[in-house]
Amino acid sequence: MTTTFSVEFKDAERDQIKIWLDYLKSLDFVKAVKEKEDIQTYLPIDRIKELYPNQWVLLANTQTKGLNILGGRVILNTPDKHQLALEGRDLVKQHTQVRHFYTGELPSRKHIGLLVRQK
Amino acid sequence: MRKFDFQLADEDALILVEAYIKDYPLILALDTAASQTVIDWNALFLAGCTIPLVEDLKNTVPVETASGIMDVPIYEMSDFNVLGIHKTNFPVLTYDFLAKGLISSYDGVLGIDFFRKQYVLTIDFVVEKLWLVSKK
Repeated sequence: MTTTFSVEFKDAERDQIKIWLDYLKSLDFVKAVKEKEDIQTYLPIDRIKELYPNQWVLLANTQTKGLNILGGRVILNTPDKHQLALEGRDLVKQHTQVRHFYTGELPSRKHIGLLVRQK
Repeated sequence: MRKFDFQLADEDALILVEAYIKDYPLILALDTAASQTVIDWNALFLAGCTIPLVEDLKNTVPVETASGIMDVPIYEMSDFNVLGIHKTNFPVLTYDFLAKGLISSYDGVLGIDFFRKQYVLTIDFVVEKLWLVSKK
């Protein structure tokens, strides 16, 4: 029988966390120690694109420079933007500095159709 | 007078501006050829707008697009901020961009209805800056 516990650490104490995780791994009765780095920690934008290719991603604690996203904590990812909207709405309320973006390459457009509202 | 920087990184680039619905940021393309502001339904829903599912939106207007005329729902936003301008009860057209085959890096188009009769908008493409002056 295997018993699994989930422990949530504060980001600011990463040095302490590593010591604890190393200690846990060294114990004979510990089967595995899995770190959900992609969920729990800040990731730079290149790493996010690498981990979640062609996905709509919802980030918390997003760092930006102008309109460019530098990185953040991934709180949701899905290939479907509609799904992101439906599942992400509540997450937006629970986190700060939340943004969404697409990690894949978007088609370049040479022209945009004009929108004309009919009377 | 308010001044904003923009970047046209390549020949296909658009003038992108940051918009806020409540505190949630969206990216809109400034389009002086668009008479009305249009925002992706998914982005509005994600931003927490109290908006019906796109298929349940009743108040629609016919809009002519490159692919023909389609009925587009209108949604009135209670809290909308762009370029330092805060608007309440601002009507925008909204539809599911993705369902219409549009995948883009921005969430909608900021049309001239946002500025009409209230602001002077000056765009300098050489220094990539825009200026906004309120006339109200």
